[in-house]
Amino acid sequence: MSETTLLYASIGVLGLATAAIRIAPLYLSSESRLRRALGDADNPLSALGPVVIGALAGSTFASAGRDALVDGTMAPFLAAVATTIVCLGLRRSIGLTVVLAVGVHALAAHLF
Amino acid sequence: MSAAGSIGRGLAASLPVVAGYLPVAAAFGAAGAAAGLPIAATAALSAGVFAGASQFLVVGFLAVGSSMPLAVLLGVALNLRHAVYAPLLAAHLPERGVARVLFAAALTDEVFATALATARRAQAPLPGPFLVGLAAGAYVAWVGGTLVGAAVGAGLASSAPVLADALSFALVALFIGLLAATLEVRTAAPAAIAVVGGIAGTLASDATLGILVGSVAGALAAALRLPRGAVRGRRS
Repeated sequence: MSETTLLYASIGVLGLATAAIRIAPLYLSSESRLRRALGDADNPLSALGPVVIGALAGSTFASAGRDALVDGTMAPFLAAVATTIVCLGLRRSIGLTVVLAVGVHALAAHLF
Repeated sequence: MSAAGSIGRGLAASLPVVAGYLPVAAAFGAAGAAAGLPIAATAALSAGVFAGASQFLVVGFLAVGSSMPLAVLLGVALNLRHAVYAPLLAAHLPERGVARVLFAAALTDEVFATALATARRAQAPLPGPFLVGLAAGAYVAWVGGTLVGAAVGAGLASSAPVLADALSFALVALFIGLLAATLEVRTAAPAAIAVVGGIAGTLASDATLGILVGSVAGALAAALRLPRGAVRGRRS
C-alpha cells in the first residue's frame, strides 16, 4: 500500500470510528453496561480522555524542548511556555492561548 | 419559530465556538503544511474527523515519521471521551430524525458544552434546526480555518521561516490547553502520571514511545485508583 493510500485510509478509518463513537451511544439502552460505564465517574474508562491528552502534552512538550535545545532556540521556547501558562491561568481560552504563544515564540526568535 | 429562524439562532449560538475554533484550526492547517501534508489531506482530516486533538495527533505522528495505524488507534482512544456526550444530551434532543444523528456526529467538546448550556437555560428540548445551525457554524469554521492555515502555512515555510518555526509550538500550546480544560480532581493523578510518562518516553527514545508510555502509565494509574469511599471505609 502506498503512503498516500495509507494516509487517506487512516483518515477514513479515524473519521468513521469517531462518528460511530459519537452517534452509537444515542442508540444504547439507558440500562446498558457500556453506557453506564462511560457515564460513571469512578470507571477507569471515563479517565481515558484526560490520560491520552496528558501523554500527548508531555510528549509534544519534551519533543519541542529537545528540538529547542539542539537548535539553540531555548529562549523562544521558554517564552512561549510561560505565555501558555499565564494565558491559561488568566483566561481558559485555548484558541487565544495558541495564538499568543505562537506570536510570542516568533517575536522572541526575532529578538534573540 | 420558523426553521430558518431556528437555524439562525443555532448559528448565533455557535459564534463563541467559531471564535475559539478559527485560530486553532488555522494552526492545525499550518501544522499540516509544516509536516509536509498536502492541503487536500489536511482538509480531509478536518472535514472527515472533526476532532482537533486526534487530528493534531495524526499530524504529529506524520511529522516524526511514526506509524499511522498506531496514530489511528490512539486517535480513537482519544475520541472515546465523546461517547458520553450524546447520552448526556439525549433528553434535550429531538426524539428522532436526521438532525439528531447529524448533530451527534458533530459533538465536539465545545459543541457539547454549548448545547448543554443552552438546553439548561431553555429547560426544553432543543429543536432540530437549531442543532443543525449550531453544528454547521462550528463545522464550517473548523474546516474553513484549516484551509486558510494550510494555504498560508505552506507559503510561510519558505517566506517566513521564523514564523513557520513558531507555528510548530501551536501543538504544544494546544495540548497543554486541552489538558487544562479537561482536568478534574478525579483524573488529575492519572493525567499527571501520563504527562510524566510522555516526557520520560520521549526523552528516552522518541515521541511515539513517549505517547505509548504515557498513555499506558496513565491508564494503569486510573485502573488501579481506588474510589475514595473504599479508602475511607478501610481506614475506619
